[in-house]
Amino acid sequence: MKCYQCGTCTADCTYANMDESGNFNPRKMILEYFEEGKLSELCWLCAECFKCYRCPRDVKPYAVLAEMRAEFIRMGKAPAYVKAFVETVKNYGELDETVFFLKLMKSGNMMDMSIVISSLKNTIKNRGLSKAVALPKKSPCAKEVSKIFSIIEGKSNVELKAEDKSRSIAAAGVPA
Amino acid sequence: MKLAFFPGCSAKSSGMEYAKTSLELMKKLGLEISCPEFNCCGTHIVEEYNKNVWLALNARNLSLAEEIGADIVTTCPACYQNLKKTNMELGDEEVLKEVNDVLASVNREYRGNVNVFHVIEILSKLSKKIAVESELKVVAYYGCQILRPPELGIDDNIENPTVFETFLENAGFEVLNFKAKAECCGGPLLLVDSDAFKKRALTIVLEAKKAGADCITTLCPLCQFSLEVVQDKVPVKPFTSLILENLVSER
Repeated sequence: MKCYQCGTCTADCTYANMDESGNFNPRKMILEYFEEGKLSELCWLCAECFKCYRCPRDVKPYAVLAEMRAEFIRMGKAPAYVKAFVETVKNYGELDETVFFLKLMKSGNMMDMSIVISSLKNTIKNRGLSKAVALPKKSPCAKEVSKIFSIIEGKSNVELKAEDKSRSIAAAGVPA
Repeated sequence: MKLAFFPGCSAKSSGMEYAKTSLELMKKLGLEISCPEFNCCGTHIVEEYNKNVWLALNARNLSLAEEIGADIVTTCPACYQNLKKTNMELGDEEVLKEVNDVLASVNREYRGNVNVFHVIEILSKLSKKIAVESELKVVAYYGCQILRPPELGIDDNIENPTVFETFLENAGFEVLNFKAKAECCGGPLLLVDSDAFKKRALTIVLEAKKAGADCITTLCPLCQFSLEVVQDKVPVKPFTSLILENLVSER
């Protein structure tokens, strides 16, 4: 194992610094991943801030956590937002935020209502009321994008499942 | 220099103001900009789902710019990273060939001739042309993905970047020292842990308040969204909006 367990990643980590329980610990996750092949569900809580870039052994902890998430996806064990995101891009050519959030809600992923409301206020401010509630339209590139997806997906066999884990993952993390 | 504007998906909703004002400002400064039909960069989510799909999506975007002989300029640091990372990976000829086999099915090809820029990189080179008049004390907020990881970030001091403040100061703003400038807004946590998301975003806002800022200015649509959505006490503005609102001349 390249990692010599100095813990710089954990000391620099945005999430670990908020997590009073101490459960979110990239150093430990990396140790268990390389020594025992263990995947930690907590990898979904990585904030993608890349603060762990300062690894003296150049392990790229952010890339190790990304690989864990990729393995979870291949096992059909990803949070619902992954499926919602991928399907939205595949069908619309882009991440239409309305489609994405509707898909998320359908899969039982409850968004924080205070955020949903102020985000809606934002959308109305940005787009005007009429456009804020307009139906989503496929991007002109949607056909090409869908084709790219199906050609490559035909050669692999990853099946996305919409399993909502957001609450169980978060329950292990930062106290409200 | 010919540029193709990559607005990113957020430009159609949460990041609309930022995308609009960036385009407007760049055009005002006389840059030649076109807007091809780009697709989503897929971000790390599609990358983790299927690396080959992610590569092909980004290669398609790069090929659209190449077709018109342009480099890409984007407002979104995540799109910026994804496009740059793809460009690096396509430096391997075997990977490039594999990706082009897929692109052939949609009648496209990428030869590897496109550079990717963030809008701050383009505008900071033109700062002599921009003058604002404003009494506002602002803080410049970088967030994460414009800087890190180092191989994908802008060319600046990663621990203490200055390009953003320097640009705003040259334009005529008073820019305050802001120790949270390169801390995380928590944006990606929105979908998995909304309590942590709110806590993180509010921490940035509080730091800005402590610094005495009248306004936080951002260069990332997700940072903009996060800081704006958790509070309404301190104004948060995309830097291109802030400039346009206070612009007295483009010299």
